[in-house]
Amino acid sequence: MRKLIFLAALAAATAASAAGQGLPALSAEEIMRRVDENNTIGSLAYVGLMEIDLGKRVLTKEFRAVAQGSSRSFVEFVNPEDRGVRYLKVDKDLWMYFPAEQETIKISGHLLKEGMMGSDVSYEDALESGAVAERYDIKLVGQETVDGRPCYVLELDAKVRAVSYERQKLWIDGERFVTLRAEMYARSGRLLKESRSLAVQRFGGRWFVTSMRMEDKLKRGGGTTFTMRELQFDVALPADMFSLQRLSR
Amino acid sequence: MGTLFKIAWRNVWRHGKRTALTIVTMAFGLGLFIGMDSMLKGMDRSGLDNIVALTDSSLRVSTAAYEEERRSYPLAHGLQDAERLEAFLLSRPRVQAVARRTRFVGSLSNGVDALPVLAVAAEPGRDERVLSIPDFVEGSWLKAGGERELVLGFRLAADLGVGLGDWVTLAARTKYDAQNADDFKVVGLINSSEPSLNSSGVFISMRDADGFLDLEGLTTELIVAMERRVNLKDAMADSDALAAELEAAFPGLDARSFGDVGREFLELAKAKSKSIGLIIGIMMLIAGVGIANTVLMSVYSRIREIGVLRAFGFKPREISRLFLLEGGILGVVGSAAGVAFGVALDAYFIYVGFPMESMMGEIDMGLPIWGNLYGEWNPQQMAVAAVVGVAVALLASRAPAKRAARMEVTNALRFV
Repeated sequence: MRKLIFLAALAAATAASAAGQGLPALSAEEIMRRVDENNTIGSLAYVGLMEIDLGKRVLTKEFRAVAQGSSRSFVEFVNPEDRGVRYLKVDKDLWMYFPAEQETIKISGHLLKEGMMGSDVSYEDALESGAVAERYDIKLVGQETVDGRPCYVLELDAKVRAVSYERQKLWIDGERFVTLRAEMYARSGRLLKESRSLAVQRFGGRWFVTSMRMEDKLKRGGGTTFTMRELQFDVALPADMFSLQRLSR
Repeated sequence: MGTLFKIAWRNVWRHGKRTALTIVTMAFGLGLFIGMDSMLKGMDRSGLDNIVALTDSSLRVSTAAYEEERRSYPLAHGLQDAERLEAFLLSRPRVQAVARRTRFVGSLSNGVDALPVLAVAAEPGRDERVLSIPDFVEGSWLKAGGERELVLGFRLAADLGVGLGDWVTLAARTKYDAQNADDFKVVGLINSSEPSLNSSGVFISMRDADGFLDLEGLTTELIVAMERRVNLKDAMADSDALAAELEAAFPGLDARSFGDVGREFLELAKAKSKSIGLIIGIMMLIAGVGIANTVLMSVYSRIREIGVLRAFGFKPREISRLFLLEGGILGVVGSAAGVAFGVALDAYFIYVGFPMESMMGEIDMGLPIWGNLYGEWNPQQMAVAAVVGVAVALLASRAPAKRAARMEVTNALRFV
């Protein structure tokens, strides 16, 4: 019996130590800078898969995407139901091309608030870009473990009014500096969305989240799983890659 | 002519059952035509009443920039100097009340599902002086001192599975595009004659919206109540004149008058009534065929009689006239019966109404009104129905009458 109690105490002590107590002391800004370093890309091409869990059924959308920095991206859906549907994002503008109608529309107004292709990721979520530190006051509030990995816990409070989420809480992997978990809160303090990273891969010196799940916390159940594969960093892109001509070509 | 009429009158009633069947067919067709016309007129009137009393008011004022992007309900184009605008409107003749509103896009959640909604921030105490939504609310309308109260359409509430006293989560973007969500208590359910309010109406108080959406006093539109006029055209003209006056005094504003909205509504209603007109046309055709059949049967059954009449010296023209007269008598009696049936239907629709709610249940027919649909008298259309009835009867009996007139006396007398 004494042996059992000793083992239990040892296990608890080990768990407490693994709960991120051993991470180096870094400032919130330094942590965020390292996260931004991982996320900052020159150009990137990948194949994306969105699995949208609607509770009663799951929609699967596959697309090819290229991006330049965080401000420009071009997406073309390749799954049979949406084949040929394209998105073009340039800074804060978003256009969508419908092949059947051969029509390009600009997504604006309340359409921006709707889920992209029926997912839990709104068009506005997709349009958010720029360094986090410019828009939020960042505070380190502790260390916790997420999926067995020690994490820094950061709290982000909006310092400008024009941000989607007034407050965010991020769990940053203490060794790889990627976001493993994020909670997005409304102005009222209500939890709106939660994301969890499902897979993290190393590309040269960079760690990158290649699969994550986003859940709308105003609804019960459901969620969208977003997976990237065949990632290629720093690919050469044609000059007109992010143009309306290419979108409707 | 007197003799011919007497013969025709006697002939019509000689075959009582056949004549009665023709008259019933005509009466049914014409009566339904009159009844349907009454309902359509009633629907138009109710639709226009809804515009003034429940959705748009006599005049809706917003900025021209807002109106351009109206479909996305932006919070970027508020009215500047709303006080001065209100004072101007209230100083105009026939203007009775003004209220401020701000529309916004959001989603309403019951904790399990979320539905996109177009919500309205309204001023309790002032809004009801312009629009009469509170008259259709089960529970209570927004109160001036109420906090986090929400009124929604009963159909939307049913879709979300919520009722009076339940809490729902309203999510929307603030004026600065930050996401916000908060819980609101359902204090009222709208069951009005305007279907769009029942299926998608969401109202919160302007005070709540100000904090929830960071509005800082932003108002996207003003709604205006004008003195009620008996004549629809006068009401439209009043609102048109006020809109023109306001746009001249405040460049950059857009004033949508009841005249504008009402005319658009009537154009749409006209297009819809075309399909109903087609149904009525088909019914009239059936009645016409019935009359032609009755007269034709009468010709065939009385061919020998025609021969006798010809033998007595009746000219072909008189024989033709006799059968036309018979058709005419059928037309007049059928039309009179049709008008009488139509008047009875009208009276029922006008005084009792057509209970769409219990007849159609949850089915949304896309009609501009909901609840009890009341008809409207339209004597002009009754006269048209009567004239058309007689004309159809005369036209239908023309061919058989001609055929009777063309018969040879000997052939007619030998006809078995």
